[in-house]
Amino acid sequence: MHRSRMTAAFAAVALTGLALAGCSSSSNGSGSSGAKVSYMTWETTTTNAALDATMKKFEKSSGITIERDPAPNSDYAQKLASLILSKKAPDFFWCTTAEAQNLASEGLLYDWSSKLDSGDGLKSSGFAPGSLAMWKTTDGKLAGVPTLANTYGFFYNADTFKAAGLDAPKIGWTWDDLYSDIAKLKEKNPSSTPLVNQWPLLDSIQGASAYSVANGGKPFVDSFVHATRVQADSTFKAGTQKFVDAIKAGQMTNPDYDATNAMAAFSNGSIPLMFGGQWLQNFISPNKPKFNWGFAPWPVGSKANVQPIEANGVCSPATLKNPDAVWKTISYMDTTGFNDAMKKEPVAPIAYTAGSKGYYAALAANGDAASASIAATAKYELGAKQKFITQFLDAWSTKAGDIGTTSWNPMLEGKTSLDAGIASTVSGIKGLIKK
Amino acid sequence: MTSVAARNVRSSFSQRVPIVVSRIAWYLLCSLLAVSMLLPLVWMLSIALKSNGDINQLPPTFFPKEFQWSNFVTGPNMIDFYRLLLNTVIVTVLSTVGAVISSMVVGYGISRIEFPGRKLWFALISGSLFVPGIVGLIPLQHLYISLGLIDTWVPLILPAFFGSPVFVFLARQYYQSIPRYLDESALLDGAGHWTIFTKIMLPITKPVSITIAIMSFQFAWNDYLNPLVYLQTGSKFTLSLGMASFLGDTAGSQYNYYMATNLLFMLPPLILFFLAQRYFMEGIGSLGTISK
Amino acid sequence: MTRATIESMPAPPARTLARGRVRSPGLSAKKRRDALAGYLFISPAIIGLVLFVGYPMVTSLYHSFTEWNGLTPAKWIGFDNYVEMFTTDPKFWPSIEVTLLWVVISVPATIAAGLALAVLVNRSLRGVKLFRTIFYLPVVLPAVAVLTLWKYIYDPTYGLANQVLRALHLPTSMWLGDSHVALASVLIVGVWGVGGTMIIFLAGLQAVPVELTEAGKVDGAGAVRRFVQITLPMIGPILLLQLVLQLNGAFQTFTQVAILTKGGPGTSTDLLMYKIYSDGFANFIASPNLGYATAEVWVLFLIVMIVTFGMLRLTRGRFSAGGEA
Repeated sequence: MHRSRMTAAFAAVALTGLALAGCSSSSNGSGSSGAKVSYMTWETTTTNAALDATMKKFEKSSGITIERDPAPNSDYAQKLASLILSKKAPDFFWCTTAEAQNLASEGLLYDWSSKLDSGDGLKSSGFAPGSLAMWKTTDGKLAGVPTLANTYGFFYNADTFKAAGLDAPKIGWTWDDLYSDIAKLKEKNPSSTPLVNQWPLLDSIQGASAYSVANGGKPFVDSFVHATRVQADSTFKAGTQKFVDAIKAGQMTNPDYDATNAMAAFSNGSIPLMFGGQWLQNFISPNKPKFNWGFAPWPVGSKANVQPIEANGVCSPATLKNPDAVWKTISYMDTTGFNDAMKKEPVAPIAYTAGSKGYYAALAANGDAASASIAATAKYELGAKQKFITQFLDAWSTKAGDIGTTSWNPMLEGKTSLDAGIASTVSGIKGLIKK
Repeated sequence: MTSVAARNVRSSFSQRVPIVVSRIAWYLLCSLLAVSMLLPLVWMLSIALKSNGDINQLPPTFFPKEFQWSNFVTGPNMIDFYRLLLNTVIVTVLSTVGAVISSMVVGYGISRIEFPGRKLWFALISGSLFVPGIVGLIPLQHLYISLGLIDTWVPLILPAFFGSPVFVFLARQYYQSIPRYLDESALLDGAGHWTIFTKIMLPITKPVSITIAIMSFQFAWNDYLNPLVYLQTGSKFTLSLGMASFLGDTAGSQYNYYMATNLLFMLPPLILFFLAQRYFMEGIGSLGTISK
Repeated sequence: MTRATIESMPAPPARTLARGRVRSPGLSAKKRRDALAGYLFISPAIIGLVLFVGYPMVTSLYHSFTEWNGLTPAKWIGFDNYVEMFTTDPKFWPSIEVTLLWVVISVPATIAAGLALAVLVNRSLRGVKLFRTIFYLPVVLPAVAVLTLWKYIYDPTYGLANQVLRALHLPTSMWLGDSHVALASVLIVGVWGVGGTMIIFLAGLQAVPVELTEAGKVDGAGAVRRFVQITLPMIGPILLLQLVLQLNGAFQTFTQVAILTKGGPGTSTDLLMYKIYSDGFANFIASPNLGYATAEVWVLFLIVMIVTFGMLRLTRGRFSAGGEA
C-alpha cells in the first residue's frame, strides 16, 4: 500500500542513483581521427564560451579534439588539487606564476623548455619582456607558458582633473606628478579621498620596492623566486614614507579600505583616481560614465621606468602523454585563440605579443578615448624593458602575506612607526627565506 | 492546588486595556522582527529581476529598472539547471534515506537495548560532534582517490548511512520519551529487537524520523564543500556547486543570475519545511524532555 | 531409626547458597543476545566513528608533525609546526584572542536571543504559527546568498544599515570596514539567524507544564520571577545542550567570516577556523602549508575540549531537570 509504493519509489531512485554514481567520467578516445586534448580555465562563462568558439576552429584545422573541463572560478585550486591527486589533471590548465613555480619544485609539472627552444610554434622572443623569466624555474625548466597578462594602472576622471587645473595622468607620468596631483585634488575637495586603491599593489612591499628601483635604489628581494637576500635601503624607506604621509593626509585610501564598490563609485564620477587592474574596464564601461576617463600606467621614477608584470599561464602535468598535440594547441591558443576570444571578450592582453592583437582590436573597436588609453597603457606596460613582480612567488607567500597584514599594513595606517614597521617586515621575510 | 476559578472572573476594563495594549505591542514587535527576517528574501527577488547593467548601478535601487523575469530562465540555463537539479535530488534523497535509517537504527540500539559499553559508545558518538569537520577533508579525499571513488557520488552519500552524531542524539532523545512497557510487553510476547524496532518503534517515532529527514535534506541540498572536493566532471555537479560559477573573485559576479537561480534553488527545502512543520516541531520537542 | 546427617539432606538450590551470584543459564543467554543485538544495531555508528572520525583524526595528527603540500609525500619535522605556531606566526595569538572574544560575546548573545524569541512566540495568539515560520526562515535560506546580501547591507555608503542610521540622524559606522566594529557586525548577522535555536527553546518551553506557571501566578509571582524560578530551571537540560552546541559552533565559525570580512580589517575578525582555512586551503597550490594547518586544527580541537569540559564541570548539577529540586 502506501509504504510499499514509497519503498518502490525509493528503490527506483536508489538504483538510478547508484548506477549513475558508479559511472566514471566519460570515456576517452571516442574514435576521432586525431589526438584528444583537454584543458581547464577559471574564466567566466562568457569568456569560456568565446574560448570554446575559437577552439572549434582549431579542431577543424588540426584534427585534434579539444575538450574543456568546467571548474568554478572560486575554489579553482581545490578542483585542481583533486585532479592532480587522482592523476586526472587535464592536459593543460590555467595557473598563476606562483602555483606553477611551486608545482614545478614538487616535480609535478611537464617541462616545456625543449619545445619552446625548438621554435616549433611559440618562440621565446615573441614574449613580452620579463614575462617568460618568471615562468622559468631556478634549474632552467619552463614550468608553464604565460598567457593572459594583467596590467596595473590608474583609472582617472579627466574632467575632475581638468576642473582642478591639473593635467590628466598619461604615459610617462612620474611619482612626483602622482603625489602633487593627489595633494591638489585633496585641497580642492577636502572631504574626499582622491586616490582609491582598488587593488592592494600600489602601497604594498612590492610597490615600495618598485619605487626604490625606479628612483635609484635597490629592490626588496634580490630575485623574484628563491630569493636569498632582503634589504630595505634609504630609497625604499623614502618611498614607504611617502605612502604613509599620503594615507595620513587622507589623499590615498588605507589598506583596510573595502574596494567592493569602488568601480561603481568611479563610474558615478565620485572617484578622481582609482588604482587597479585593466580588467576593471569591464565593470566601468557598461555603466557608461558620463565623463571623460582613461587609464594611465605605473609612474616612472627619477632614474628608471619599472612596470609591473603579472602573467598568468598554462601548465601541464608531469604525466603528460601527448606533448606534441598539447604544444600545438597551446601555440594556437596563445596566438589565434586569444586573438579571437579577446576580440569578443576583452579581458586582458596576452604575454605573447602576437596574441594581443585581438584585445587591442576589441578596444579600438569601441571607438572611445577611454578604450584607446587602456590599449595604449597596456601596450606600454607590457613593452617596458624593466619589470617588477607583483607578489611573492615562493612557497612561503601566504606567510609573507601574514607579515604584510601584521607588520606592513599597520605601519601604513600609522599605527606603528616607519622604522619599526620596516624592520619587522624585513626580519619576518628574512626568517621565511632562511627555511 | 488552587482551582481555575480565577479564569472565569470577568476582567474589568482596567484589566482589559493593558491586555489589548500588550497584544498590540506584541503584534507590532513580531511584525518588526518579521520584516527584518523577510527583507533579505525580498531583496534577493529584487536583485534577481535586475538586468546586467542594473546590478552595478550606484546607489543601488531597490526596485529594478525593468522586471527582467527572463533571468529566472537565463540564469538556470547558463548552468544546465535541470540536470544539476536531478543530480542534487538523487544525492539528497539517498543521503536522507541513509540518515534516517542509520540514525533510527542506532538510536534504537543506544536507547532501548541494554548492552555493555552502551554509555561509552553514546559518549563517543556525541563527542564526535566536537571534532572539526575540516579534519576529514584531506584524508578522506585521499582515501576515496585510492579507492577509485573520486568523481562519483559515493563520497557524498556514504557517510549518511553511518549515523551522524546530531541525528543519533535526536533519535535517542525521542526514544527516551517512549514508555518502556511497550518494549517489555513485546519482549514477553517473544518478539526480537528487530521486530520491536520495525513494528512498534518506527510507527511511533515518525515525528523524529521526519525531523531528521528535514534536517538531513537541508544539509545535503545546501552542501557545497563535499561536492567541490569530490566531484570533477561538470555533468555530475550538484546545484550548490554549479551555482558557484556565477560568483567570481576577480572576474566579477553576475548577481542577478545568481540570485534568480538561488531563489529557485531554495524552494524545495523551504516547501519541505512548510509542509512538515508540525512533525518538525514534534520531533524537536523531544529535546524538551532531556534528562542528562 | 536413621540419623539425618548433613550428607543425606538434599542440597539446597544453588541460588540461595551462593546468595544469588550464580545465575541461571536462561538470563545470561538473554544478556548475550542483547549484547549482540545492541552492537549490531549500533554497528553503523561504530563503523562511522572509525572511518569518518577516527581515521581522519589519526592521519591528521600524524600530518600535524609533517611538512606537507597534499600532493607529494609528507616530510616529518617533529614539533616544528607547533613551535612556529606559538612563537613565529604573527597571526596566531591575535587569532586566539579574537576567537576567545568571539566565543565570549556570541554564545551568550545567541542563546539569549534564541530564548527571548522563543518566549515571544510561545503564545497561542492568532498568527503566531506564521511568525514562527518567518523567524525560522533565515535558517533555510542558502548561507552564501544571504551573507552576500548582508555584506551589501553593511556597505558604508550605499548599504541599508547606514541609510537607516542617516534617516534617524544617528552617526554612521564603517561596519565591516572598522576594526572595532567588524566583529560586532558579524555577530548581528548571527543573531539575525537565530531561528534554529529559537525553535529548540520553543520546544522546551512548551514542555513546561502549564500548571506550574499557573500556580506561580496564583501565588503572586510576577512574570519575570515566574520565568526565572519556574521556567528556566525546567528547561535547564536544553539550556545546557544549547550552551554546549553553541560553544562548539562558535569555535568553528567560518562561513560568515569567509564571505563578510575574510578575517579583516587587519586581524580583527580572524577567527581560528578561518585562519586554518586561509593557511592551509586558500592558496595551497602556490603556497602549501597543510601540515601546519592540520596542527592548528588540533590546537583548536584541544581548546574546544578544554573549554567545553571546563564549562560542564562548572555547571555540574545546576542544570538538572527542574522537578528534582
